[in-house]
Amino acid sequence: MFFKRREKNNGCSTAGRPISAQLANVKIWGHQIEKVYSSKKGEYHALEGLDFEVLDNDFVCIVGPSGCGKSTLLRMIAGLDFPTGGVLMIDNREITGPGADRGMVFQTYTLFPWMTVAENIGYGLRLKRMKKEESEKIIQKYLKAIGLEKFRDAYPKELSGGMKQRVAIARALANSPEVLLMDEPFGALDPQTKSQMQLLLREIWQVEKPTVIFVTHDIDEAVFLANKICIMSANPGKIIKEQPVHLPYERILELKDTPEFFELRKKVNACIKG
Amino acid sequence: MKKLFSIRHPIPSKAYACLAVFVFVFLVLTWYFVSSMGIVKELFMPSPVKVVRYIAAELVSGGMLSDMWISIYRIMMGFLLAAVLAIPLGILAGSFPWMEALIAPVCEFVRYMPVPAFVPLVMIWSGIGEAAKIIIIFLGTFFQMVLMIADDARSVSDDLLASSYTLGARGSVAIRTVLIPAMLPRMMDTVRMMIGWAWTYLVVAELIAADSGLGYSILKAQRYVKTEAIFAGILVIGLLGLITDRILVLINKKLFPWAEGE
Ligand SMILES: Nc1ncnc2c1ncn2[C@@H]1O[C@H](COP(=O)(O)OP(=O)(O)OP(=O)(O)O)[C@@H](O)[C@H]1O
Ligand SMILES: [Mg+2]
Repeated sequence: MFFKRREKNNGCSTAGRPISAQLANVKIWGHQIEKVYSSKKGEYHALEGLDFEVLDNDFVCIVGPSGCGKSTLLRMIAGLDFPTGGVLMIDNREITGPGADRGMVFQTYTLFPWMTVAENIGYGLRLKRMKKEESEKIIQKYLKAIGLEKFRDAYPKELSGGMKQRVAIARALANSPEVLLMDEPFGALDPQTKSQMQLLLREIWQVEKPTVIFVTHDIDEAVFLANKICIMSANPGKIIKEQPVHLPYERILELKDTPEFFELRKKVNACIKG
Repeated sequence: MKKLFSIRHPIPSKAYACLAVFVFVFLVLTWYFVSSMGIVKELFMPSPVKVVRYIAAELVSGGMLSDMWISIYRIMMGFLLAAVLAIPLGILAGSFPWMEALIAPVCEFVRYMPVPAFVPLVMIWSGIGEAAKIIIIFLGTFFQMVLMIADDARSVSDDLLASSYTLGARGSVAIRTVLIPAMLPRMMDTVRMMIGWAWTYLVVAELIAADSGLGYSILKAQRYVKTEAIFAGILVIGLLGLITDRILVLINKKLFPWAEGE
């Protein structure tokens, strides 16, 4: 739709590739991650013995029941929070703090209310001291991609929830992060807007190829978007299964009505319930 | 009728204004009747007509104007001094827990010391010059303001700051580009409230240690039992406070068109 340039198909499942090749392009790697919250009432083990691996340029969805620690895991990858045990690495380096290389779209609305839509999208670019003309081009490109060109000078309070979330995604993408972390970004949207956003996100991913880690509790969404689904269980939070998604590289809405789609959804559902 | 008692049911802004004006008119009329019908002696409660006439005469002759200006000058100086110091300290205390530990407990303690009790001390230190009044206003507002500004800074959502980190902001850049802009509307509200307090402490200072200003004019009127002058002084102080408040509200609306809510 918005992006003409297409790259070669290299985003499909990597299952079956030799181990060495897989290790070569592991982007994020977690081993026996543990997160304990201690309070006066005692300790709460939010995550325990969690193993996790995401390949470079992959699109991974994390699903699991509410409170199983999805946000916690994402925040740790962003460097906003730290594991109390185990290791969590990016590019074979321990994660020591947040950075512009890992963009994040939060579960809550986090646009800067005093900035217009365009200023919000350009925030990271201004921090990088990018030249005006250059950043203007990028802002324009993403305004177009999210279909909000008419709202470039509007303040967030004038936007609907879905529009806010689109701007938040554009703001994260404009910074061209290597990793894009998304925490139930479409959770509050109506089904139609949600589908459109899913298409848009997948399309952007196919062009820009960031490594995407996408948290959701909507299994349809996970199957539709991901190359791999990580299923988590609660108490303690850990990944109980990794489900590769062998669907065509080009994701179109009709896919949601195919037997392959049903089959995958059933598998994931059974795993969550079981 | 049912709607009137449904919680938070909005009313037209005109109706709101009418009701507010009605209460003022009602109060003034009651005052008028109580004083003119002789229920209370004229000496204790002069009629509103007399008070308004007194204010008008004073404004024309300029006697009250000079008192007003000197009071406004003291407020500005004392309050600006307090604000200039309290705002950065408050922001630091709201951003860094170790700063908070250094700043907040002391302020909590001092703010419970009654400011009028400081007046004799301030007079010993600096006589009854301008400095004394400014110090008293400063003491009355500074400590409270530090704590309130710190609260404003803390009220900025963690996720807002976190998202700036994930876009490449760190430390002072995040404070400058996110924390401060995000807290500004609340901070201006705090400032507005504190100016109200500053008026109170100004009068405290002028009642005890001054030879000019609106507070002093009230004290002088008491000596000569000129009740209408006392009423006039109190009313003018109230009006000045109200005007400052409304002006600040307008400035806030102009400055922060993006703020959520009203
Ligand atoms: N700061 C904290 N202090 C104490 N406990 C916390 C804290 N943050 C999260 N938890 C606990 O950790 C667990 C995981 O929280 P998290 O927000 O990661 O869940 P989630 O999987 O994202 O849930 P949801 O789908 O509802 O967003 C929860 O049980 C929560 O109570
Ligand atoms: Mg969550």
